[in-house]
Amino acid sequence: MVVSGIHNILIIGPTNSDKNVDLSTALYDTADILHKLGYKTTIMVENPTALLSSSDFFDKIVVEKVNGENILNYIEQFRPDAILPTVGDKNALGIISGLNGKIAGTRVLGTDYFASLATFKRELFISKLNENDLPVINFISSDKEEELYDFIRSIGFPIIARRRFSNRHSSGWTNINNLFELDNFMALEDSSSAKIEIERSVRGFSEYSCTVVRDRFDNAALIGTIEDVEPIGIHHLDSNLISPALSLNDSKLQKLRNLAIKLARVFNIVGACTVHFAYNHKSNECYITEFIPRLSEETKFLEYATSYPLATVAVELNLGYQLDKLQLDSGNSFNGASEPFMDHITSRFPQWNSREQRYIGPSKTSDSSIIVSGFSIEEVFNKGPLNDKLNDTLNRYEQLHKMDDDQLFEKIIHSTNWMLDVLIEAIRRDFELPVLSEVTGINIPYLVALRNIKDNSAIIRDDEIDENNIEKLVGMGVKGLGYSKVLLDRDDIVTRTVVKSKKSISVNMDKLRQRNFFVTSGINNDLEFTDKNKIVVRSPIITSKKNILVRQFVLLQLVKSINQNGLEAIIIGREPWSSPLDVRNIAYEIADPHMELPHLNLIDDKAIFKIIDFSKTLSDEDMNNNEVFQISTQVIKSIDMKADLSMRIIVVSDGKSFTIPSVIYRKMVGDKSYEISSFNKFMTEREKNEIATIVKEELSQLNQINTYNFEFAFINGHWMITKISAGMNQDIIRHEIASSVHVIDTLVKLILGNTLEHDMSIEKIFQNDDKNFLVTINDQKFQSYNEEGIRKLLNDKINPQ
Amino acid sequence: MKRYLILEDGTVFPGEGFGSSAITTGQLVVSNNRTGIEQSVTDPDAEGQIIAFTLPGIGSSGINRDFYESINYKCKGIVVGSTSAESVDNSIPFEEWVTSMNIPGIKNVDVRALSKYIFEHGEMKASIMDTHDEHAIDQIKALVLPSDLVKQVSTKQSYPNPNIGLKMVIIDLGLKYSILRQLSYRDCNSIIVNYNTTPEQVASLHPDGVIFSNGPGDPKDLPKVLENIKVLQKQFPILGIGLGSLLVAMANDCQITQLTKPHHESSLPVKEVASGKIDFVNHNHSYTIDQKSIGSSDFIVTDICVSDGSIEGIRHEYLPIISVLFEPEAAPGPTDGYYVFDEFIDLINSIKQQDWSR
Repeated sequence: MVVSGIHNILIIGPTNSDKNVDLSTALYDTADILHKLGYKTTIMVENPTALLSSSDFFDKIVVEKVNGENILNYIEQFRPDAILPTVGDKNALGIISGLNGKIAGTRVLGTDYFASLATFKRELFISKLNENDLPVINFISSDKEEELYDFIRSIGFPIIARRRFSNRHSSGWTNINNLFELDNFMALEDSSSAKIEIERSVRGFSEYSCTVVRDRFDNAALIGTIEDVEPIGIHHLDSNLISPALSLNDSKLQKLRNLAIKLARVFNIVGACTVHFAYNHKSNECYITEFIPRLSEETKFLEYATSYPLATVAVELNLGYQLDKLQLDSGNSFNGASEPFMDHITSRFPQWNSREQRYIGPSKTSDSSIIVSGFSIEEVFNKGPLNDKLNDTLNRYEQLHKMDDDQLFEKIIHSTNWMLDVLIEAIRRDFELPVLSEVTGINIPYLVALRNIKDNSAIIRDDEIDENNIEKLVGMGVKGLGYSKVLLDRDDIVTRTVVKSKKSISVNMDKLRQRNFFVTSGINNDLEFTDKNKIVVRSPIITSKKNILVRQFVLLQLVKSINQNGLEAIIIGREPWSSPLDVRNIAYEIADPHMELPHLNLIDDKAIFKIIDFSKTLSDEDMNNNEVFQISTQVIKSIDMKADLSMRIIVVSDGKSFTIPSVIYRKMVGDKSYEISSFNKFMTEREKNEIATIVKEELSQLNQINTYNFEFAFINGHWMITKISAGMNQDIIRHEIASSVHVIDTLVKLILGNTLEHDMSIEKIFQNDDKNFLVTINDQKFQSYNEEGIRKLLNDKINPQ
Repeated sequence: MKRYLILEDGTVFPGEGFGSSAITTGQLVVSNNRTGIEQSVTDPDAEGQIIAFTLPGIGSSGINRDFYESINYKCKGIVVGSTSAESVDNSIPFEEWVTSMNIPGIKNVDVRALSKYIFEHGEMKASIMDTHDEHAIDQIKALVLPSDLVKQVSTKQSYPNPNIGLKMVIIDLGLKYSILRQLSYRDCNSIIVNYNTTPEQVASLHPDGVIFSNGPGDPKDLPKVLENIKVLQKQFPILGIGLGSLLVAMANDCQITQLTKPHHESSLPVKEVASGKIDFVNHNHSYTIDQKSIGSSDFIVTDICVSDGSIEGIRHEYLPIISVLFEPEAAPGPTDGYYVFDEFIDLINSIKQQDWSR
């Protein structure tokens, strides 16, 4: 069944970029299934802390710059049977496209040289699509005026144009709508050596993407569709995304499905492939704008939206499995031949760290995203971009309300990240929907949803909330507003706040097991608990890419530990966690954007053993509740002192005894910083005693079970405390991965009532049996060393005599 | 206005009325179609049915009258969750369209809970009403649904769909226009006849092939059609689709059973047994062919549903009969099943080249 002769696989990992943290779950799932299926895997990564796991799944982790040269060196040295480029980022495909003809004995899985190259070379992409009658935006790159004008005559206006300079840089794209504007553009004296690139403009077209999977026997399935609320011209990942694509009727959907599958065939992609389309609903013009033959943010989003285990399926297809004969676990068969049906809407909304309004365009500017689910467009808008708890919408409303119509119209013409708020304000001022649709390129159904929301907020302002106007809201299709208290006690109303499974009821998805839920409106709950005792974990809102990684890591370790200790984890947060596949059936995950769950009394208080709070702040009620255990970072002490030599340690305390399983050592040498993880082994007895004494003294005042992060600076020959915080900070991944003691599991055991050994020796307190040590240079470059290597590094570079 | 969907076992799903305000009763079917509301509503298969669509945001993609699957027939009622008041292409708004079709509708229903209930308890009668008292429930229980659905939807008079290619006689059991569209794309010269047309009348039209179309209801209610199939299959190549397929199987001593989880989904996988090839096609049937009875018949199983293993296609070992339970014409759904029409035409052509005498 599978491709024969493959035992050792080299995974090309992602580069060390914040952009790639979304791939962490996919990478985890990929490594997990390869491990379960018995393959030996090596991964080359720049940042090993992005793997969400220690080396459990990997036979080898190579920490190197992920580039063609290093991959080629590895292949020549170790001769893996295959390389897998589809869980790395775009860089991995770039490497593959450069390896053509250089790695004869090693098979490329999933996306071959040609397809990889076509994701970079626009000319190649266009010619291949034209050759196969796939609709593509034609393009010319020339320095000959006659050729350029001939091309424009063949495609007509509007067009976009830019200059490509000989140093490979280019000007930004310019919109050109007529001959006059074209002549002006051509007359610019930028550079006579520049080539001019021109293509048909699809600005304002609706944007869709279809993700398909295909096996090596040419079976293919459409896994999901995504619709951008904003049109082409706004970066896809700065747009509000909706799945499924609601505005496609049957003939349009089948057209895009067939084109996406045909493209996967044309490029012989085995695995997952996302194809982007520009569609004009007035003229029915349709173009393929891009294809992504690898796992990506789109596949992560669709995996959450549909419950279809896309990452796991993709790698098994890469290995040659047939679509309907896959495995989710060793020996556990799974039918991947399914086009998942969604009876709900799942949306991805971009988030910006700054509260300011900012213009958005073809380049991505958002810092993170949130995902919400619901049963109507109004509901997902209410839970996501218009949720004041997430987006400060009341402040936006006040600012927009002060603008005059001209100022507001300027914000409508030039898109900003407040677009939905701007449109609500415009609708409030009776701007007409067709005009707004024409100007913004946003399809009418979304504007109608905003109008419903506006009408709904009018009801709320005019009256007290009661069951009658709740009924009115329901009548407008506005659901999931967070009025659980009002709705709970009424038997005769249409809807109430309930918890629904993320998995639709369908013949197709019948056998897929998972426990992912979301709070919404309806008449009954899908949620059913087992008899096991539970630990509720409150998950934090994500505000940056780095936080995603920390959240993924801590929640994963918590769930595993809670499960191993015989309890059941319930993860609750304002947005879903996107857990790896192997925990989706052992932990309950409930997305609750308006934090309504506590009012629903669905979880028996007696069954809740503890509440672990990983969100930022506790309520007064929580502060007085002994069952609530806070693990998010709480600063206890902070002193403004800096030194070239410093240390960060994690302390695990049961309130009486403590251990220091992981020490991160940091030294500035010239303008370079060196950080060494698991430094315990290289500390002197004097240092250990000094640190332990300080920690003991500080903890005597705290007297609680928790993990503590201590930061020290070496000043005047002594270690001085510069910061103490309780809970988990960003170092937790390095502490956990570096340490041979599992910090989070130890903490869970302490919460469950276990205690640490009393009167531990200094060696026992600092015990760390690691054999590999991670070195970070300038907070960017990671390298892995053995003990001898670290000693050499210390002697030669960090502390030369 | 508040209205109620009441199931015959007394279970009530509240919602808000739209479309016609009339009280309606029918067989409740839960449809997981991704698109194609207008196709599903006008599909003659939907005769006598109240269709609950589980798709969210219905109406966003617009209503296209070119997609109708019949002119004269429509379902008895529509149940939906969320709707959109206007569409992307400025076509007639969904609710306005339902009103213009004079179909009773109920929206803002918890369709997830409804579909779960029907999956667990099976398809049953239901009614859309303004009240939900015991009297209303008794009324539904007492109501006997008509068993002559095919009679109601089959064409009363024969009509042609002319072209220059092979001549097909289509026995109209509830024909979808998309079957005609697919035959037209292949230049077939089709004549559509009433479901009770005798074999002699069919033979007098000198067809190259005979198609038993899709249609509503229980195949056991059509004994006369079974007898006609037994005669016609000895004279002409036969293609059975949907209800037609079940009748072809029954005419050859196969047993029919009801699916535990009915197939009403526009994209379910079907696997060709011989090649392992998987296609995604539209399913709209509550019955299937009993696996055991196939063994003692002259049929071989050609296609199975990958999701639940039920039979989706059969082929006669000796006679030129192709039969599929799914809807190869799509409408709505993926177009992967179009090959069935090509296979049937190939079958006819290969027979024409041979001296096919019985």
